[in-house]
Amino acid sequence: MLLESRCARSAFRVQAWQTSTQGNDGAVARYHFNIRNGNGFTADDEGMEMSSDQDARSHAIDGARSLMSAEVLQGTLDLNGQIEITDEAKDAVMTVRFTEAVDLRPATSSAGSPL
Amino acid sequence: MISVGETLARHLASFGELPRADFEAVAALRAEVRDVPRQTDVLRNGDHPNHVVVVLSGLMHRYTIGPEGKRQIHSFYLPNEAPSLETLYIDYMDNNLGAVVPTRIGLISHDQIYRIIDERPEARKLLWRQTLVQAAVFRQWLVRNSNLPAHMALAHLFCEMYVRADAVDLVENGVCSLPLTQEYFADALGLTAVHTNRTLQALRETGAIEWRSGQLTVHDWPKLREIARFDPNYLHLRSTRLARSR
Repeated sequence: MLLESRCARSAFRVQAWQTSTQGNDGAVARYHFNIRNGNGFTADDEGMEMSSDQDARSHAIDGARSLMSAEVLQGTLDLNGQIEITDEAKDAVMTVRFTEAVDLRPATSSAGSPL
Repeated sequence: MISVGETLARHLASFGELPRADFEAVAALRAEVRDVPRQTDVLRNGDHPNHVVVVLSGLMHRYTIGPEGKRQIHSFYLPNEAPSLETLYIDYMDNNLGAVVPTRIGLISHDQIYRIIDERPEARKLLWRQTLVQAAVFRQWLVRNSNLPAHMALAHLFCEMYVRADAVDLVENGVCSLPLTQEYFADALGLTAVHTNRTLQALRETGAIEWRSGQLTVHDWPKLREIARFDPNYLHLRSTRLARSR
């Protein structure tokens, strides 16, 4: 009997398996985030599911920022890159330029001056 | 077909000497087998498990959801590994354990393992050792994520998974199953999926590896190790071909 009661409150969710991903309720579509920058073109064969074009755009912006951050840490920053978002059929959805992903503040003439 | 108990016995024996009688005692433990669908949790933060999990097939991961909803993966578990032995002596889960792909697991009750621990000092030592090695692996994941640039970090993760797969005989002709998506790599390495994709491409271009459709092919092991500066000592594997080759 003891064994039975222990099994009943077993943490193993036999009946109530829960998925560990979020946001599966709404409709999703697969988007591909192809990168074009100073390192050439990197196709995204795998893609990711997103619930809207807007989410895909946010994802591309986060991605562009992370690529630029890594470059800056290596001592370079190439603003000519862009993320070319395509749909499952490989048709263009939108392009996010790296320059759109950051608030650029050009250096002023006084920048770096001691006063 | 190898029993769940025997799978656990072999896992323990991969960390050190397990006397025949102890091996047989562990191999004889009773277990339940469960099939877990993809992307499904087996244990969640706050749970009080009374079984340990043995992975029989598939792939599992442990992760924490951060305060801003971002997932940090802190380990992957291959078949023949036992991801939750520490639940024997901690009261509740402080993270989540879930299947990445459809995964078969075996569950062995804590009570049976407590008996092994009480009666068999050599098996007890190896259980200790297994959990200490887990801690060593977590330390290495911390170093990897905070110290290495993306291409080294990804190469290092590939090295680790490849050596661990080899240790449980899951590498064949330089190929092992690693059924992850970019998103899983990203969340394990603290990168974005876009950065991960670029990094994967950069690693492919070195000729050291190919990773496609959930399969890792290592074309040039010395080169991959060199890129990652990988030293497998933290895995404390008793003997594997790859761990020994320097």
